[in-house]
Amino acid sequence: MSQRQLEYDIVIVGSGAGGGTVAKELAPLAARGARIALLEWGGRFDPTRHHSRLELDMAQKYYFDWGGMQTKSKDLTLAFARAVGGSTNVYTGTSLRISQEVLDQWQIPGLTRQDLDPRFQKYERENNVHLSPEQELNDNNKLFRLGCERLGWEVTQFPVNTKNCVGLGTCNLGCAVGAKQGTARVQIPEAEKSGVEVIPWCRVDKVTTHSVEATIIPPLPGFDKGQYVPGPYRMMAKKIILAAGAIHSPLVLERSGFTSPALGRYLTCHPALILVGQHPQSITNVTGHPKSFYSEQFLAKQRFLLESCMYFPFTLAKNLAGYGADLDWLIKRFPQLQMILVLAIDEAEKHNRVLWGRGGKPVVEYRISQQTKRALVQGVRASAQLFFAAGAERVHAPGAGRFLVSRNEAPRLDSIVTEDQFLLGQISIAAAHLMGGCRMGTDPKTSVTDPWGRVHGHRHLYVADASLFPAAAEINPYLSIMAIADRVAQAVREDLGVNS
Amino acid sequence: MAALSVLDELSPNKRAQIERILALMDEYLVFLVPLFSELSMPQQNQARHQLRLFLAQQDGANLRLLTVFLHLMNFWCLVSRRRRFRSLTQVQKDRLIQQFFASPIGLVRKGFWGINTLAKLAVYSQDCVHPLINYHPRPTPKGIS
Ligand SMILES: Cc1cc2nc3c(=O)[nH]c(=O)nc-3n(C[C@H](O)[C@H](O)[C@H](O)COP(=O)(O)OP(=O)(O)OC[C@H]3O[C@@H](n4cnc5c(N)ncnc54)[C@H](O)[C@@H]3O)c2cc1C
Repeated sequence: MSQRQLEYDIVIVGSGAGGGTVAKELAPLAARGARIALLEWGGRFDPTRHHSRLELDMAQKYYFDWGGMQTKSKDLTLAFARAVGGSTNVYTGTSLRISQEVLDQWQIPGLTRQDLDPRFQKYERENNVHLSPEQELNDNNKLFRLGCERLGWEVTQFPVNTKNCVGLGTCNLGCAVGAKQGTARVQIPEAEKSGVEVIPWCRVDKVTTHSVEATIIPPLPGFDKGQYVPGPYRMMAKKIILAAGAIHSPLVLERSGFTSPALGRYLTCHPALILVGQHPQSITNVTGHPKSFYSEQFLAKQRFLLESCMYFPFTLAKNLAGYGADLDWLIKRFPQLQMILVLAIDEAEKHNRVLWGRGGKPVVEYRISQQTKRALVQGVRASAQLFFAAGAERVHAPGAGRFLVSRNEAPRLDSIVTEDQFLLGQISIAAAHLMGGCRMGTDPKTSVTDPWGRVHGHRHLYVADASLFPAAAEINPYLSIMAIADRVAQAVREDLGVNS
Repeated sequence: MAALSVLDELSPNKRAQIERILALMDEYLVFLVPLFSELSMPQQNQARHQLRLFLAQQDGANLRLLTVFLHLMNFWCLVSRRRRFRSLTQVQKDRLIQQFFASPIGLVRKGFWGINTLAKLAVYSQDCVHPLINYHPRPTPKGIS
């Protein structure tokens, strides 16, 4: 089929936290006549038509590889979405600002909280970021807080970005009532009002000087067609902004022939475990916002975070290290289950990278380091302590060498949960905070873009998503991605010689 | 409809490969997720169909790995217990599965993780199991978006 050509001034690739933000920030230029396109591989979801709230149905529709892309070593799965709005459709909506300490470690000139704070304020306002009132918190979350308080640990309530939330609790399958605020709900509609053209079902294959090669694919069954017929396209543009996420932005650059020693490398992802405590009584858990509290008690020294969480039957089962009658026994007690997410803070290491594999499939080479493993083991022990302090009778603690640890064993957790028994490949480790791959910096040998997201040596080409992060954010990252994408949009405007 | 078309588009080879995996999985499904036996026949068929749909979206290399690993499990069972898995006692089954689950060889653990996850997917992803596990999400209110 012959390639069709479309003309634009600016093309943005990917419409998630980064791309959706850039689209909105550049939209005033569209209002003044600039032709801007936002190209997105996935489709547009309509809460009333496309949200069955069934796990596999939604995983298949929303996520790359059903939300379970495996790394090459097959001991870690990665979750990230493909849709207008990207992973902001399926995120939980906890909204935190990156700390000055982490920015200090990143050493990106000009990237400070002073620079970011006004940007954070803007998106917190747009996304209705607030603390849920006490009466909306369910027992699962309150028990997390209670456990921390009883142990004398630091605990903080998550600001969340919902509006008219009815507590369905299935945020990670997409919000079926459109209550969660994300780029599909807030920034992209705003951009469209000013004339930005959103092109769903448009997979970008390559970027070249001032053009993008893309394929319009047929929509998934049940979804509306896009405005263009399927087939190959070339989009001409003066400025191209890549925001395809930490996996796909580096891959698009690699396929386009870009070479940089840092391209695709220094991937971090906050490898995480889902842990479960069983209480003697039923608690409210599956209704209400799933994630209300977190603890940074162990962040500085042991390098892990604890967060309250709640997942669905298959996701839970997949993440429990076990099988058979034990597993059934625990899952049948769903109303008694409290859940905690342990997130390890992984180091940015050059060998952790994304690349094209044979057969044109993305490959993620990621080694779970000894330090990450240690953090996860310590996180299991701390979570078990927390569950017991909150009143749980039994805890599923991977690395214990048995499926459940009971309350009377609580004093011996350190000797029960050990690194030796924490077997990679046996224990499900999953990650949803993908960062790096096109890291920003000043030295082209160790970074792909400059501190404003301009690809080194290519003034027409920018990156504006989580792939810019030179190392882990050490907190839930979306708000920081938006703030950093806002800086990239500023750079684009400045390079074009326009002020918004 | 969507589901049908995915399967319709498969090559005869891939279809045969998927059916082989399903047949091999049947040996282990009830042991790995006993809840499977609490499902009605149509629900069990639906569970298998769910697996079929999932496998249909896997590439050839992944399907080959799964097939090889299931054969390895059968082979190890025959060699070490001189019987097929389904003829073992519960205790014998558990001991055998533990050898895979907690194997000192990483590749074996990962292979078993794949099989175990497939079994979990077949059963726990079905909404018909929700009442059996007392999972009662709040229904979606009508007319909100
Ligand atoms: C289940 C889950 C829960 C989460 N919860 C939270 C939370 O509570 N708080 C928080 O801060 N963070 C959370 N996150 C993380 C957060 O959602 C992501 O970090 C963030 O959305 C990443 O932004 P991004 O722009 O880099 O990529 P994405 O938001 O993933 O967007 C990238 C987009 O690019 C598109 N794309 C990719 N390749 C191409 C291509 N070749 N052509 C065209 N388009 C392409 C993709 O389809 C996708 O839509 C969660 C993530 C997940 C998966």
